[in-house]
Amino acid sequence: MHKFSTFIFLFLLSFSTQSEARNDITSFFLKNGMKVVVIEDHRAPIVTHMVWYKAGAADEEIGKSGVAHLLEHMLFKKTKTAKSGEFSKKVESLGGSDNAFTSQDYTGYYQRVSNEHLEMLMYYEADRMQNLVISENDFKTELDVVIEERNQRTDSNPGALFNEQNMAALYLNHPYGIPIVGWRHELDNLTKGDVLDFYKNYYVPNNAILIVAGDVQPSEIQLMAEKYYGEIKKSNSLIERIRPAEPPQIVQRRLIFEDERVAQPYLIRTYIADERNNGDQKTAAALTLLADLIGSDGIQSLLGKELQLNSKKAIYTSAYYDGLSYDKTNFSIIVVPSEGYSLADIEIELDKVIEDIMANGVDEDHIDRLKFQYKAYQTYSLDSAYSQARIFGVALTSGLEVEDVLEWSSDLQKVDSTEVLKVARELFKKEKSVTGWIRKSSEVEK
Amino acid sequence: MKFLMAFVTMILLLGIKPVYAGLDIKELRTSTGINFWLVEERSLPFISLEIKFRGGASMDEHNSRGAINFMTALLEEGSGSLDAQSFSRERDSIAASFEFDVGRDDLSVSSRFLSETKKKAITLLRDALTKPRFDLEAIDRVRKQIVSVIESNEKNPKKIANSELFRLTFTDHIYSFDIFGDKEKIKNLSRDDLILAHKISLNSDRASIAIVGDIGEKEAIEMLEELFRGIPKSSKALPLRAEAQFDLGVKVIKYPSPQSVVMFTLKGIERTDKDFFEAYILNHILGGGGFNSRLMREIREKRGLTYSVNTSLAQYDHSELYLGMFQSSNDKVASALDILRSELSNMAIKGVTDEELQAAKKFLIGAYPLRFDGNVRIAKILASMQFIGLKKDYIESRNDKIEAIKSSDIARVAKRLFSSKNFTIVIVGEPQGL
Repeated sequence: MHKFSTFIFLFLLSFSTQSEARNDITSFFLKNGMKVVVIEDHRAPIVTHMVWYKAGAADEEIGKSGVAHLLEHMLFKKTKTAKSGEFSKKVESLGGSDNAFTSQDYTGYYQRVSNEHLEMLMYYEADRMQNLVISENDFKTELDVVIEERNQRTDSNPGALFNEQNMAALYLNHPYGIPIVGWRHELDNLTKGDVLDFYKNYYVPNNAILIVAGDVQPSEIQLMAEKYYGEIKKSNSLIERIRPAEPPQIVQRRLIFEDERVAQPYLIRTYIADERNNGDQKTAAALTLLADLIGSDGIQSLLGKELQLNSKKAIYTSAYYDGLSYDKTNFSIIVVPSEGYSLADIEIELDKVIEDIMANGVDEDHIDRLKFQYKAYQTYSLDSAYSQARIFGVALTSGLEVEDVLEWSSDLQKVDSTEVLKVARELFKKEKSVTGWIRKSSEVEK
Repeated sequence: MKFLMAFVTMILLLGIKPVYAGLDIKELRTSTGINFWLVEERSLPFISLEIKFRGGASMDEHNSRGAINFMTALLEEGSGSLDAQSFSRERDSIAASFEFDVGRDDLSVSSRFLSETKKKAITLLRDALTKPRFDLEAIDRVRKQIVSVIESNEKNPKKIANSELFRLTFTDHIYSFDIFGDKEKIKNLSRDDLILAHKISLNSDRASIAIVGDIGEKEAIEMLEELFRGIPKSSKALPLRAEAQFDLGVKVIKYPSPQSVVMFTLKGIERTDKDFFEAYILNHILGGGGFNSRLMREIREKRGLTYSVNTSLAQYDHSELYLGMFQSSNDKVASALDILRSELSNMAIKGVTDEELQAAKKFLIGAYPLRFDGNVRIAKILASMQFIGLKKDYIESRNDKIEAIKSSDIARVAKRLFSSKNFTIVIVGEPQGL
């Protein structure tokens, strides 16, 4: 065993030099201010092309929730020169795939094709950055599609419905409390003009990031990107990204959500938490490891060990934290009680585990094992150019720079038990949390 | 270690040959008679190993349904001298990952581990596969989790629809039951049932194996000899062919939701059928091809009646279906179904246009090489190919087969597939005006 840990130590050392020497990543700006990141992966002649806008649901005007996401749908329709669906059809005719996604902080579009077709992707993506046309009919049917999407993803799913309420309760003032897909009553009243306003404000090159990952050379990407994206006029009226901030949170909130479609009662505790910031990812790194230590590492985690293995009071426990967020993010813990234990019982058990961390600290050996796993994931993640591209896209639209992404791995390696305990003390304050009980209707708490 | 680093950096700088064009698959055999495919891919210091054991949930006995899935969930809950927690600690300390998954016809093992710790990873994986402890503590803990999953599935409209469709279609064949089994049976399964489930579902003569990554022939052979030491030959016959029924009309299950889930099946087509590729193309045009399929265009793009609709040719070892699914608001589901029906009969009568056929061929031919991207993905594809009986040269000939398909054959197969009387539909929700 001793020999083995020495080996791990050496391995970590050699790995950490790797993150500083990522020769596969190149980034630069086009003359109009559009950021470009190239990720080389020459194993197969394939390329992933993505354009990300630093504009998501949290950038919407108050009362217009759902606009960012509806606009994402509209981008698959007409432009001044291209027919509705033409870009997707082109990609399909090459055997490629395409899609898009909207979050609170970004909207992203991607295509994946054989690398000789990259130029065509740039042509069409640059076209829809500047020439979108929305017909009344397209607007109407696509709004119906989005309402069906909301029905399918949110209204048909009690967990998703609770999550929407949970975020609304957690954020007192910040727009992260408003759902990305939009509140139904606001969706119903959106107009074509609302969508076009959002498009004009945010879909500009100096608010966009191009990411190209795969079998490509940075120099050829630079030439091609200047030709298609570099010619688009930059916006001089780009709105600075300042969202309404949270006031001090001084009251713990409790939600009881009852829905007859809930099969299994469970508890979710959510805390406001710090996010990764440019040049400052230390707290987020410690929070990432804290989530593993307390819940997201299965029966190795404290909750798993205490509530699943030892006392058997829970059948499932987990924790979740993602530091990639433009403004303050959240840290959540879920506990599913075993039969015979109420949500009130299990909440007491959860609080005991949290208090135990504050009182007794965390296991340094477990931290070391987690750090080793993060190093290894770094290697595993190189297997997919698509996920590499996606990581950069999310990071660069969440206020981070390329360097932050490259340093994240070593930031994780620097975390120790003192740092974890420090962030835990800051995080686990009930007045900054929402505790949710999710259960069947008319279920009486024992 | 310095050497390793320099090597990685060099590869990143120079690039290596395209995987697809030069995908060099070696067909190998261990001294113990285990056949497998290997792709040596040295650019990243890790190895992907994919194994599919034929059988899966179809090996369940009627009186112990769900035992295979239950047993599989216990493979990482302690083996040899390690209890559940020690096992997961050992696995995590080398950052290996093992995923076990049960399908209707297979039990798959997907693993990924660093080259530097491969010996340790293989020992752990071998112990998980050959010496699971089935500790009573772990059995009880996992049993509660499985019961909880079953209870959640019973409240999930998609799962309800899926279960009902399989129950109706396959009457009393093992396919008519859910992989998770039913609650009461799971509560009564004993440790002996799980030991038996283990014995009949992990067999060396029923394994399809692919290795992709930082490993050569000799080492790969040794690795598999080590891994399969202690895995027995099969002792129980695979199930017989399932008789399926396809003309059961519409069944509605009431469920409180703003939307209805619609699942349907028609008669499918065997992979070895001479019309398989024609059917594959037809499915792409009708509902398999994402945004631009006919059903997406007619139901979503033109009318906004759904967020997504798709169809697929489903191949099982002992039967085959042609499945489809969509979700629509309760007040729109009737219109969506009308369009679905008319598109199916349209397809049967008129087939597809030349333009559609050409577009589908172009997509399917162009998309094929794009699948071979990444060690993990390639390992999964290669194991699946062996599982369904394809030879490695299929990769070279597959696109020619698609290219050669004629529109006259497409028209004939469209008639064969889309005769609307062979149609079973399950709707879960509160549909109006059906």
